[in-house]
Amino acid sequence: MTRPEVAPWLVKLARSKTKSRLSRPALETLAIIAYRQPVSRPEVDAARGVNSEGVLDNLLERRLVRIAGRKDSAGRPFLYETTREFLVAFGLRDLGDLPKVDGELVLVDPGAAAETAIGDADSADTARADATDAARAAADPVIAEAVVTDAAVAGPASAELTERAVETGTSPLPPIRISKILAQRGLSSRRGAEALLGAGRVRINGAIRREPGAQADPEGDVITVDGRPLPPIAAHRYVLLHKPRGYVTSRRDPEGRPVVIDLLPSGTERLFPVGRLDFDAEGLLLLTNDGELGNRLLHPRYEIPRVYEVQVERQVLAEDLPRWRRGAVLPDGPAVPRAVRIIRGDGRRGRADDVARGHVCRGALSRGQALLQGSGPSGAAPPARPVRPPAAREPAGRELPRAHGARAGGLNNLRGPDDSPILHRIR
Amino acid sequence: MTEPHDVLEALLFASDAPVEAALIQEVLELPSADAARALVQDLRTRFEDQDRVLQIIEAGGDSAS
Repeated sequence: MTRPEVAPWLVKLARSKTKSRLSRPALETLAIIAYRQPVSRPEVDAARGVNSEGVLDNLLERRLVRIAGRKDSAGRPFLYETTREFLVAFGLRDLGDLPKVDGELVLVDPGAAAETAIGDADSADTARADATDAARAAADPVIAEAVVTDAAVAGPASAELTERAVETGTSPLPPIRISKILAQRGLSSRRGAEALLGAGRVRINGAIRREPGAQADPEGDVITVDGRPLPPIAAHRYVLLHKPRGYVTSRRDPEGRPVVIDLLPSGTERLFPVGRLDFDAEGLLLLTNDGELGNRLLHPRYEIPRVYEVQVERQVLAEDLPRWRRGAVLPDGPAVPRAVRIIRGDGRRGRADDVARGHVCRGALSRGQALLQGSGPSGAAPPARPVRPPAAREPAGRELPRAHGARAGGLNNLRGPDDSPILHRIR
Repeated sequence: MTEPHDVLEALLFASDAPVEAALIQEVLELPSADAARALVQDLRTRFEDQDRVLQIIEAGGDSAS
């Protein structure tokens, strides 16, 4: 505890920190999520009257909110919820600790949002005002005070909100990140796009742009990569591939080994593997040109665990699990699983969640436990040559959601310890 | 009784993240960030002189305790 006489300085410290930390739109968005979770972005947008994508990214990055799943409505939008970090940051024991707000926080049904915005400006205003109230209420006293101070300087809060809404309305296409544009066009993953930028291969209106956060207007600006204009937005394609052993999960291998792309029928468009299975591992792999999905599934910010089902050669006993849980140090850094458990009575199958690096099977290998091929009885010899197609095919029906629980919230019976979806399956 | 270095100690103690020199300057109304750094150095010396169990470390140009 600090002595009471230093309190004035501590209050000052808390104020200057929170002011620089959360913008008013961020606080407002956070409050809507806190009170209405799980909630989708269209609902948040409808309540605030402005696009919340950037703000949500920011909140995700700060780990104040996370993706809870997908909503069963048109477009299957992501649902957002607050995190434990949110509770810690605001000094709440649980969500029941949120201050009660008088009146209902009205969330306009996004389906009817456009209609409402035109036909009933009043109700949209009410929703915004409610959201602002909630934002103030949700903040702890110090932050709430900071918000009020800001508002006093900037004028009535509602006036400012309206102004911002109008601003957004008149600018039809705000610039977006180049990495996102390149990912949308199927040129690369978002991260790959940042590498392209860094290498000076991307030009906007003739000028080389290198900074990872560079933005452009996909309609108005001329964007070229290696001097070539961007391809039109590609239709998204998803391919499920049973990756055999002896293939590198990559588009190209500097050492000239076979890559998973070789397994696709010739003429298949440019697809990227989502995540990876090691050279010696086999199992289900998703390939797509949907850079957004890839980014959502892989970026650590979204904390989507990669769950691996691993069969090992030697029997794994319960007393071996602590060693498994310690993880392993791999050439590119430590890989520590979030959870490991045995799922078959014979002790031969383990499951591991690994959010940091998807190298669980290498972790297993580094313990001297070779992976077995197939799900047959132990000792089944792997075929000399990899399985050829029909190893690769497009997901049928609800299979894509199946392969990627993150996309649909399906897979009810195959979930990680904290209700996380299964991504890869190594048999 | 409440000397600037006492306040600084409280700031570092109460903050969950490293405190930037500029922030120390602002909160304590010091003339410059260098003055804030000097104060941190002063506190660090005091900690050492008194064999306190706490030590102040710098993280990426910021200071933390």
